[in-house]
Amino acid sequence: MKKIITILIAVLFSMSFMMTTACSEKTDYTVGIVQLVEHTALGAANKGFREELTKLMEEEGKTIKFHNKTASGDQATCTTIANVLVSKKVDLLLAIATPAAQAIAAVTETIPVLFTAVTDAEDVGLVKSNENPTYNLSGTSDLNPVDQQIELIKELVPEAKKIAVIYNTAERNSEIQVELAKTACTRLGLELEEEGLVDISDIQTTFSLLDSDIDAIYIPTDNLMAKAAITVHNINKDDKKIPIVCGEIGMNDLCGVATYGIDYYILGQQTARMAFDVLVNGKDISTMPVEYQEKIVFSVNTLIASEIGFTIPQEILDRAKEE
Amino acid sequence: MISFLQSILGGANQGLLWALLALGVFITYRILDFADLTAEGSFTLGGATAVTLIVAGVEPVLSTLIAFLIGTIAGLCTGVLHTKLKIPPILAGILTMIALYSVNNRVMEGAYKGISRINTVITYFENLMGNSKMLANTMIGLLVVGIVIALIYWFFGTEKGSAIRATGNNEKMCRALGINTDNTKILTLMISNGLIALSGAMVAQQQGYADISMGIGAIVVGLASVIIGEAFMSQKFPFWLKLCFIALGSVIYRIIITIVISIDIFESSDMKLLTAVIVIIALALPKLKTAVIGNNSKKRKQQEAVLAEGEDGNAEN
Repeated sequence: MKKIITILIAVLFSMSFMMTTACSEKTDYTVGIVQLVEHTALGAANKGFREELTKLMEEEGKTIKFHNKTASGDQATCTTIANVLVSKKVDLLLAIATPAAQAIAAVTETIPVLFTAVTDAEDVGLVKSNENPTYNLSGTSDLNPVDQQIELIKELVPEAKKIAVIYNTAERNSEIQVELAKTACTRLGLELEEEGLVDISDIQTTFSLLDSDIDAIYIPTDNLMAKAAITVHNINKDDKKIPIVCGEIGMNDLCGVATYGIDYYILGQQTARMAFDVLVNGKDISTMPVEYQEKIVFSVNTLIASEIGFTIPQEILDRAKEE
Repeated sequence: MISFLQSILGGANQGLLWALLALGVFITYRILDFADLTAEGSFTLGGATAVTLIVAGVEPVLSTLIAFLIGTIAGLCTGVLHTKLKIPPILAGILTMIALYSVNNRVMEGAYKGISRINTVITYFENLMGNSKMLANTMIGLLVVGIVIALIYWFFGTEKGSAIRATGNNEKMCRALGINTDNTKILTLMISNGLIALSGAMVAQQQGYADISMGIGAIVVGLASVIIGEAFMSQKFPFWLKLCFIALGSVIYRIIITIVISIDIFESSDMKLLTAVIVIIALALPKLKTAVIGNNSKKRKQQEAVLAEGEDGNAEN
């Protein structure tokens, strides 16, 4: 019996080895992608990156192959994926979201690593400074224009005095944005109420416990809230009917009335151009400063507004048409 | 071929550091028969403590040991909740785990703390191993797991340790013999969560940061590792060998995930389903074994019958 088991294990092992090497046609470049979790924004960045880089490579007459992996939200898996991709000796790595970037940073100091959807790389130690990365990592930041977004709230609800910010206390990216929101609120004379939560199931409770004098809600770009965006809208329209401004357009489309935002697909494309610089033009990644999105997008959501019985001021509707 | 083996080695390295978690879970789950959910909290606590201390300038080895001690305190809390307040085991674990979320947030002053480019226990080994991150991780993994297994083996041979094993076996009998089972339970939870915190401290140093979510799913990983390890061992193994197999279970679990990720045919999102399938196969192996070759008892009866026949034959001659 032991013999049968040993033979079985040997067969399985060699089968898996063959399967991993089976699909390796030779291409000019291979790029490994590690995405933390599936949601609209990260997926858009991923798609933007791959499509833009493929296009740039084709123009150059080169072929490129992607190993596209997602970690299903599990941090230890990010490390495992990083290990696998590094041993495949890829030419470049793309990390989507901060934990993925951290996992890769711990595994390799030589392969160039681009990150995207990381709010503040310097704050989390991925780069020495945003202007001068110094290590083998650089990329694009998804820091959204928090200041402009809070100002937008004041424009949507001119008589607003108090707003609430709902976010996942476990995400560093969100904490950073809450800090920025606080500064913006002080400047605009608004009172900010911080509602931190831990789990999707807390959203219902958080909403029902909101003070009755909350005039608007701000939700930063937060992986947990992004996944729960539809739930947020369902809870909001049945109960409080408070206008929401989200940090990101994908989220805003599902639960918010208007926002200035990062388009993650375009951000992915921007990252692809950095990748092209590193791979084909041989640029040194440690000298490439972290890039921010060049063009901010304005979006208005009349459907959501009507479902919560909120009238968007005419001049804001006009602005959307202008953009 | 090399790259495949390299990724397997990487997976094994991760598995070795998580093996401490598996050993901690083994101690409470199998020896004490206590399903301890504190693991998710104490794992993160170990990571948070170690990273915070290292960043503050404390020597890495000392930081790691302090992380272990802090973990024992978490175990103490669960133990007291269960033994003194009579809260059911699973609930006691959950309560401590929930409380630890806030504690961890305080310790790290936020949801995350990075230790990029500072010396950790792992970097010491990197310098020894000539800058090969892979080998450094293997060395330290083997070293720490080896030391821990040796210590566990020694401890459970002592009087206190034997009292713990007895409590898990037959609590009423122990109390009749005058053993304070409340104290043995608390002690076990302390050791177990200390080990789990140690695992968290090592993993945090390996990945370069501690994060408030790093413990999510830890108990499942621990239990899966224990079960996979047990599928490969036999009841006749000596205790120290059983501990080695538990550690091996953790390594195998990580290697399975690595293989699944390496195979490009599968989507990464299929990974969790496939891992579940493989754990199910590991659990079903003993049943399959019996179905294929029949029970030992059946085989033994046949052998005895043959021997008896032979003896009769000889006697007649």
